[in-house]
Amino acid sequence: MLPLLRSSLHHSEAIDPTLAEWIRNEIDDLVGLEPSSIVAILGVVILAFPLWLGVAAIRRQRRAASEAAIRSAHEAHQPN
Amino acid sequence: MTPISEHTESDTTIVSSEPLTPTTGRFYGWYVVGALFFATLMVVGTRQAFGVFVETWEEDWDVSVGAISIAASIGVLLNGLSQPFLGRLVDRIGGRPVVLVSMTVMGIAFIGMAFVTNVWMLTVLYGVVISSAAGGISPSMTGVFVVRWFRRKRGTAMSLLVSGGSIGGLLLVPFLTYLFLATNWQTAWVTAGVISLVLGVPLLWGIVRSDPSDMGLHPDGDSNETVAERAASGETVPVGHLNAERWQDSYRSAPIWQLSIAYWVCGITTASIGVHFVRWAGDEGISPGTAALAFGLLSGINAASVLFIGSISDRMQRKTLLGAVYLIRAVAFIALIVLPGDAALWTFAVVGGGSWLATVPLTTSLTADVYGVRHIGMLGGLTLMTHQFGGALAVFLFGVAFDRWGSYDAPFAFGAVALVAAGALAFSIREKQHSARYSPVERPRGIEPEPAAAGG
Repeated sequence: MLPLLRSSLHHSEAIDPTLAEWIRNEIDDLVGLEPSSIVAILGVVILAFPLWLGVAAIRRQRRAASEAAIRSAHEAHQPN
Repeated sequence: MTPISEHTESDTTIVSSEPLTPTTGRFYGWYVVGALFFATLMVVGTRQAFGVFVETWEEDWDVSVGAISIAASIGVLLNGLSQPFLGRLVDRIGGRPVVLVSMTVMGIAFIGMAFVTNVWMLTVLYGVVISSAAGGISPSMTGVFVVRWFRRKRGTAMSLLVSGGSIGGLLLVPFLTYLFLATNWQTAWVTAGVISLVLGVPLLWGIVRSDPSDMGLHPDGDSNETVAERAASGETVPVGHLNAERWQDSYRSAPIWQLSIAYWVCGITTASIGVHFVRWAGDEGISPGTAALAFGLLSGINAASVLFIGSISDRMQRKTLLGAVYLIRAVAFIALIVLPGDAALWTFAVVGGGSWLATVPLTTSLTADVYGVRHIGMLGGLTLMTHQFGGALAVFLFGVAFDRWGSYDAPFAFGAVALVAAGALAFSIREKQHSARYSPVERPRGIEPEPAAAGG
């Protein structure tokens, strides 16, 4: 394997194929599941964070709109 | 609504006096970090998975690994070269459009990888398009958001962001590997592209803003009242005295050279180990699988250590930690020379792992502390380019040295000496004299503001 295909894992260059194969073997030994099952499990883990973050951000924006409306109403009722 | 001061702590003009986010709850900057964390996870994880498909491409296209490595080599160089240009762009138009375009291009290009049928297409799509676009999601670019959104917790936020790369490697590489096994390599790339476009781009679009002032907020989530009170009491904007009008002026001072040279050594020592570690292990009679296991352990430890070191860097001088990180890595290199095979391997994995990624948040945060946020994209990009070029040079020279002397002792000794020098350089930074954290200049709010980053 030529040098630049080995990874330092310091930034984002390609993983060392030896390491990739080892990871695969270890996961196989550890869980003993079909590839499709592992894909499903890892897929859920990967997708969970952005979905949670998106929902949290939307809820925050709704709360902001609500707070702004309350503030506006409060200021409108205050005497000059 | 209390009118807020004309300028925020990051010296950018407020465009709205009405906050668009709640005044209570978690600071919005953490949502920005979360979205950038996911973008980093996708970009780093998918690019690392490139190595998984090499053997299949060899068979499918009937080409040599050498031919495929041209795409990877061009990718490394272009990724480094793109940093200053993207950094300049981030400083001029704001980080949001840069990360959005980068993520969109990456997502489309990931899907395009499924249609690659030869090495030339691979070189253009991966080596040129994907690697250049990845520069827009690099730590030096996403770090610009962190230093604008955070001041007191800059190290913690930066380390969280950087850890996205480690976690991306840990999750995406096995995910795409098993997807490849369950289907084919084309499906794996299309899936990565679809996730990037369907989740990554909307997250960045909906959440990420270049500067807190774009949302009527202040760094660290300080309230308008707090900022107004500080302004009324004549408190200064916390910028360091090296906060220059032009980025070129930064290079007339010592800290940027101290940081850049040390980061160059960081590139030398990480890239050389990444490339030559398995070969060194073979020379020591250690199996490739065991060496890969040790390197995997190193990668796992670095994810934990970067979070720990980043968080404590907000409570002490960053240069002290940066110097310590380089010295710890020097110890790991010395272990490779003086200890016997297996002991050297595991000592390096544990000790080296503790210092592997921590230089990234420390260097970025310290650069911003000293030089401010106005040119942080350009300065960070140049520093990272130095790091990448140092790595590329070391990969080549370590190989030449091994071929000449039949041993890695001499290059590892050079690495150890260079790391001690890098540590000394980091320790010699006069952080208390130059950093805005310790020596803010007497600049009242509202005077000589930095130009606002456009593009929201």
